[in-house]
Parts: sequence; C-alpha cells; structure tokens
Amino acid sequence: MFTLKATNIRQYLTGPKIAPYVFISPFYILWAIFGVFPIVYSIWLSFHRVVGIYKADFVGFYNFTEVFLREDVIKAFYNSIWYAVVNIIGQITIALLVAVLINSKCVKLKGLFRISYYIPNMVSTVAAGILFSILFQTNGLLNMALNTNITWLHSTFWSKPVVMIVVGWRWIGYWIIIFSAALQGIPDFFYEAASIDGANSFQKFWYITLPSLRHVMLFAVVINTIGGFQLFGEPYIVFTAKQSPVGPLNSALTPVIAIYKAAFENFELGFAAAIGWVLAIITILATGVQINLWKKER
Amino acid sequence: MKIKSTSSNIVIYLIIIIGVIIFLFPLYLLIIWSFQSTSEIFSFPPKLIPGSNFIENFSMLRIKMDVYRTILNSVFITTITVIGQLFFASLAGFAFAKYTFKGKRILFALLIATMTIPFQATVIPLYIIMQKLNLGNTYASVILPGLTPAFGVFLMRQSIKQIVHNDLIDAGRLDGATEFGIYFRIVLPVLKPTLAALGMIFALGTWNNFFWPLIILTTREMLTVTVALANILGVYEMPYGALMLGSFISLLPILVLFLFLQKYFIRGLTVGSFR
Repeated sequence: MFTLKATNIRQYLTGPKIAPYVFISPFYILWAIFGVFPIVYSIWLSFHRVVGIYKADFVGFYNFTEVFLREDVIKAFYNSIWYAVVNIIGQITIALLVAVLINSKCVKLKGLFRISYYIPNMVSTVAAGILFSILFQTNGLLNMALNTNITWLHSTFWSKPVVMIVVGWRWIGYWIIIFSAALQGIPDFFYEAASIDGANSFQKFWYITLPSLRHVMLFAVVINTIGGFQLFGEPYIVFTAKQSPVGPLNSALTPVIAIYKAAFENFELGFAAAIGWVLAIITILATGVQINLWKKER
Repeated sequence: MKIKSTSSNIVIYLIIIIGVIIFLFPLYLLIIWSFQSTSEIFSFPPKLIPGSNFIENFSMLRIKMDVYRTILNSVFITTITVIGQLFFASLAGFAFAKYTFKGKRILFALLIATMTIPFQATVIPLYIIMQKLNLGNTYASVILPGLTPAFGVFLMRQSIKQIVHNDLIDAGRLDGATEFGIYFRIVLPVLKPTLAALGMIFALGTWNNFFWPLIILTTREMLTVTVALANILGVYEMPYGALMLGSFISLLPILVLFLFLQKYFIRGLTVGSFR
C-alpha cells in the first residue's frame, strides 16, 4: 500500500503537470536571489545613505539630486552619450561595409576573412586595453608609424576616440559575423530580379540589402547603445583608472566607472545605486525610443 | 566590361585584406611584445620580431601575479559557470518551449523585463548580499550571479522550439519515460550541437568577465587572470613586456578552444539570430 502511494507521488511529481515547475525552479530560485532581489534592494538603497554595512538613513531623493549636481558624474553621462553615438555609427558602418564586401559573389575564402576579423573579439577587455595603452603612448609605435607626436592618452580631444578604437577593435568582427549571417539569408533571386530591371550595385544595396537587414540593424543599434552607455573595462584599463581620473580631466569617465568609484573607493553606496538607476532609466528610454521609431518607419 | 569587373574585384580584395591586417596586427604586436623588454617595445625604429626577454618577462609576471593559480581559478570558474548556465537555461527553456502551465506567460515576461535593467544597477546590493552571506572573495561569489543569464533561457526556448519535434517527445511518453527522462534522454542529445555552440559563447564571456570579479575578488590567490592582470597596472613604471606576456597567456586557452571548435563558435554567435 505504502509503496503504491510513493510511486503515485513520484509519478505526479514527474508528470507533465508538475514537471515544468520542477524544471524552471532551479533557475528561478537562483535568479530570484541573485537577480531580482538585488534589483529591489538597489531601489531601496538609492533612497538611503548607508553608514557602515548595517545602518542606513532615509534621505529621500537626495542621492538622485546629487547625481545631477556633481560635475564629474554629469561629465560621465555626457561621455556615455558620445560613446553610444560613436559606437552605433562607427561599428555598424564599418562592419556593414566589410560584411557586404566579403559577401560579394566574387570573393573566395569568405569564412577565413570573417574569422580573421572576429579573432580580436576573443581578446579580453583587459588584455586589449593594456595592448592599446602601449600602442598609444606618446613614444609608442603608432606615433612612430605615423611620424607624429600626438599625446593620445593625455589629451581631452583624443581620450574618447582612443577608447572607441579599443572597443571597435574587439567588436566590429562580431558584427561582421552577425551581418554576414543576415546577408546570407537574403534570397539570390531578389538581386537577379533587380539586375533584370537594370539596377546598379548601389541601388541593389539601397533597395534590397538595407531593407532586408532591418531586424538585425535594430538589434545592432540597441546593443551598441547599451554597450556605449555601459562601458567600463576599456576606459578603466586604458587610463589605469584605479585611484586616478579617467583620462585627462575625466574626459573618458563613464557612468559605470563613476558607480564603481562611488561605491568601492568612496563608499557612498546609496549614491552609487542612484547613478545606477539613472543609467538604467536612460538606457531603457533610449532603446525604447529606438525600437518604436524603427517600427513606425516601416 | 570584363576589365572593369576584374579591377573592382581587386579593389574589393584589397580593402578586405587591408582590413584584416589592421585587425590582426595588434594581436601580432601583443605576441611579439610579450618576448620584448620595455626598451625594445619603445625602440626606434620599431622592432617587429620577437625579442629575447621572455624569461625575464615571465619571472616578472610571476612576481606581479600568481600565474598558475589565477589561470586555474579562471578555468574552474568558467567551467562551473558554463555547465550551470547550460543546465539551468536548457531545463527552464525546455519547460517554456514544450509545456503549458499556469503562470507561464507572466514568469517569462518577468524574465525578459529584467533583461532591460543593467547589471551595474544591481551590483552594489549584490556585493552587500555576498558579504552578508560570508561569500566575499570566494569562487561561489563569482559563479552564483553568473548562473542565470535571462537571455540564455530565451535562446534555449527558441532553439528547443525549432529543433526538438513534438513527435519525439510524445514517442518518449508512450515508451513510459518520465518528464525528466525525456529531458535527459531526448532533449539533451538533440540539443547537443546548440549546447556546444552556446557553451563556447558563454565560456568566452565568463573567461573575459572583468567588472564583477574585480569587485568581489580581493586576495592574490583568488583572482581570475583578467583581474590579476588589471591589478598590475598602476602609477609606477609598468612592466610592459610582462603585461603583454600575461595577456598572451590569458588568451591562449580561448584561442586553443577556438581552433578546435571553430564551427560551434561561429554558430554560437548566431544562435537564435536573424536570417
């Protein structure tokens, strides 16, 4: 009798009614603790001033007003918009150009070319940052090669472009792979039909290729926006930001580095959380606008 | 006409190849610089062949970081994280792809909604939670928050919908398999190539992860390779050759993985993407 009951329970637990809950529970339990709870906790934190690890005073919107009053944080947000715009335009343009060229009919060894561009993506942000910080030294190889004397790492003009070059070096190859996959999905007869109608290469690109890439382009725009807003590693490493400004006059500072410094160098946890939420809201708004504009333009 | 098209072919090849050189040359520099001394790295005219400073660079690197231990740390953390990610995500993805149950839509929507909130907004509470759980500076502190990538569930759901046919699952049920048995004996085997492909991409992300390990790992013997390298950077004279060697060493495991499993790697990048 008892054994029968046990098998019944087991059958019930492993049957199609209960099984899906069993299947999702490991993920959702972990996710609730380390994914969702921190989000809620972080909202609470942003309205408090934390004193030590156990005491916190409610301060209302003080932390948020501070975000808009501190010069370096404002600068960080200004920089992040710059990064996002250049990230979108630079990476997508170059990657699309290369992907289209590699995918043109006459080119052999397509796979080899794509992989060659992709390889830098495997280099970590840290290694890439160190590498380029050497390359961009005033007495470094780049200035030797160009026969120039530009102070790349000590100029407010060049600090952000240098960061973008490191980011682009690592990520353009990724977008080439993604765009190539999308380009291969465009049926050949689209182009054949256009040829019969007498379209030239540019017209084919403009009227067939670009519209066919709508979805992947939106994906690229959104991801590059997020990537630009949430930069951390590249500027942190290139300008050895530990205990020092990020680029001359903080000209390469990003919101995430500002969060890191506020929390782990100055121990203003509530303030750091508030920067995080302003960043989150800006990110959500920007990507939301992009998605809506894209849909409307159809 | 013929001439015009061959000359435009040459231009196309030329642009592609110049691009390849621009992208791969820094990597070449990384490798040769790891054999050079600081004065060789900055010598004029530039020295574009490997130098003879390898042993000095390596011993300097070993002073600055615990090379073997940090590599083992990275290997361990990456392995456990990726296995966990694949297991949890495929299990949940399977449930979302092939079952109907109460709360399914809301649970999934919740997951997607939290994807819009950047990790950086939650990193401080996560730090406090880890300290309170007494997990600061442990492997668990790095691994646990990485185990539940929301987009992993999303991609797994998509892949299982596409790849695993319902007939296969029904056949399994008729043969008397339990639901868990169906996951293990039917879904997982069919999903193997996808798991391998996504595993590569997860491994790359975890291996190169920097922000969170930098925050939560503090002592020399617990660091991952990337954090250990970053910690060498400072205001004093930097051991550039040693830094490059460390960077090269940190790249090697990924490069080897890539050379052997290239096919999966490239597929992993485009899993669930737009064709």
